[in-house]
Amino acid sequence: MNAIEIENLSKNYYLGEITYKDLYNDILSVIPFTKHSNNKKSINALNNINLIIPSGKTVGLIGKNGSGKSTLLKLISRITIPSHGSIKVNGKLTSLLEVGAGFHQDLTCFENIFLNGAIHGLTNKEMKRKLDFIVEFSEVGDFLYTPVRRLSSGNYIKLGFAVAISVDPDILLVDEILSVGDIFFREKAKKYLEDFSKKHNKTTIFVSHNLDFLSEFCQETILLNSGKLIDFNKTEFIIQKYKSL
Amino acid sequence: MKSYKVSHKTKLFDFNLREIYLFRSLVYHLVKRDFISLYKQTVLGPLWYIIKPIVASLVFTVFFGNFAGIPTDGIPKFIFYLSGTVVWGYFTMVLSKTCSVFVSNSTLFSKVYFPRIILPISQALVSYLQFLIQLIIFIGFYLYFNVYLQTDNLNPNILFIIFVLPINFIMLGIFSVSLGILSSALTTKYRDIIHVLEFSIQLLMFFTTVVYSFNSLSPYMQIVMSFNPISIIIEIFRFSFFGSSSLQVIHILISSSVTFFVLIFGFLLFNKVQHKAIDVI
Repeated sequence: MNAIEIENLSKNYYLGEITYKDLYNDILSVIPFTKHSNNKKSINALNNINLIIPSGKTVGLIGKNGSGKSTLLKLISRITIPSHGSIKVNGKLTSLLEVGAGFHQDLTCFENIFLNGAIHGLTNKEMKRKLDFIVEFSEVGDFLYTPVRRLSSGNYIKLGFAVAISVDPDILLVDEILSVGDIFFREKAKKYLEDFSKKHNKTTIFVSHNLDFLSEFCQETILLNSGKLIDFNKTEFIIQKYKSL
Repeated sequence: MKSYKVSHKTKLFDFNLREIYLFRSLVYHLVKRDFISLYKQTVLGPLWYIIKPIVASLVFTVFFGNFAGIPTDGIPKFIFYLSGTVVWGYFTMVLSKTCSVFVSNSTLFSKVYFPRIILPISQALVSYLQFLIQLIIFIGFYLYFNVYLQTDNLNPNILFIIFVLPINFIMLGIFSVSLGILSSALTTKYRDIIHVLEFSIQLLMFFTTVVYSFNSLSPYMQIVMSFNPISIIIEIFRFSFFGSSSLQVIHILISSSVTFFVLIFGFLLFNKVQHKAIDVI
């Protein structure tokens, strides 16, 4: 069984601002029998990627800045759609692209836990069962009925992380978030992710610049460079390749 | 197992209703969030929902009713204008909030996936809560005029109020959201549309039967006015409570067709734009 199957995937982004020329082209494109040319400059954020990630693996994802790592995660988690090709995801997927995304500053931690759970597609009933776990894991304690904007940035992140992992997905995408929080929370989060990835048939993809972390956690790693898939292989091997880029 | 496949080919009629149902909790929480956060840190709180239409109706009574002397079919001016402003208030609130849904939620949309249509739907619902409060206020004033002051010309049509009015207000929600998502699909790329809407909402009120009566129009103008579904919705509302109208089946047919057309067109365009919206914002 494969967790993620990626076929001929490309993603282009247009450069420059939107001007009257775009409007002109857009109007022409809906009128039949007219020629419209789209000669806008674009960049190839991802270029013809073919990749199969089997279920139950913990996989790293590295590359220089601007190599397309975040774009790949965004495409897999349906935030934007490909310019070409397709992605098939088998199982429930959660992505941790930013901790605490979707928190509303005026609502209390308690209200935000439920709102954020709902954003991740959980029902109220499911969230009630997970509440104890979230409160304990995030160490939110006395702040539970306080608006989140009064939390310290560390506590804010803890809460966001706890809600996101409580979703308990089959596939988890994590974008460089273990660099936040104090060392105690980092250890705790690391421990949780370690236990998670050891569970049966759970697939995790980590984006990280921390090479020690990758070699400790991930058996295999994907290497991207300027939008192209360089290799998907054993982590030590990939790290050598990455350093020699 | 919630599996899915994404590809560059977006189908025109690929609307996943089951997915909207799966995210029903999110609708509930967004409605709650918007309702609460609207009056957090305000002294008068939910009273603002009531003050706005009452003040607007009072101003209309003075300027349009007394100074300009626009006829209101013999209905007390204040509740005549109140009935119009309550409906108009709902329409403008839903339209102005949903037309910029991609722009104002871009940070959220670029970090988490959920069906984007959830936001306009919850906007329509939270505005219904405000509408309901204002409706109760309207009925309060209506009873004051009808029972206490024994004003003439107020003949409620009870059957209409029970059976037709709810459908009428559902149509109001459908039309407002449809027009909102239709414009939101356009505002993602061209934010000019937001300015166009802000400006035209104010002017559009004069092309809607808010401050004058449908019955005072010529038969020809009544047909033209039917292409604005809000006018017909206000007229059905007024007929239910005031009891006389020159409304005909043809007017309702035209207005329903316009609503249906905007609904289909809005959903198709929204569906096409929603996946790529985050790239162009």
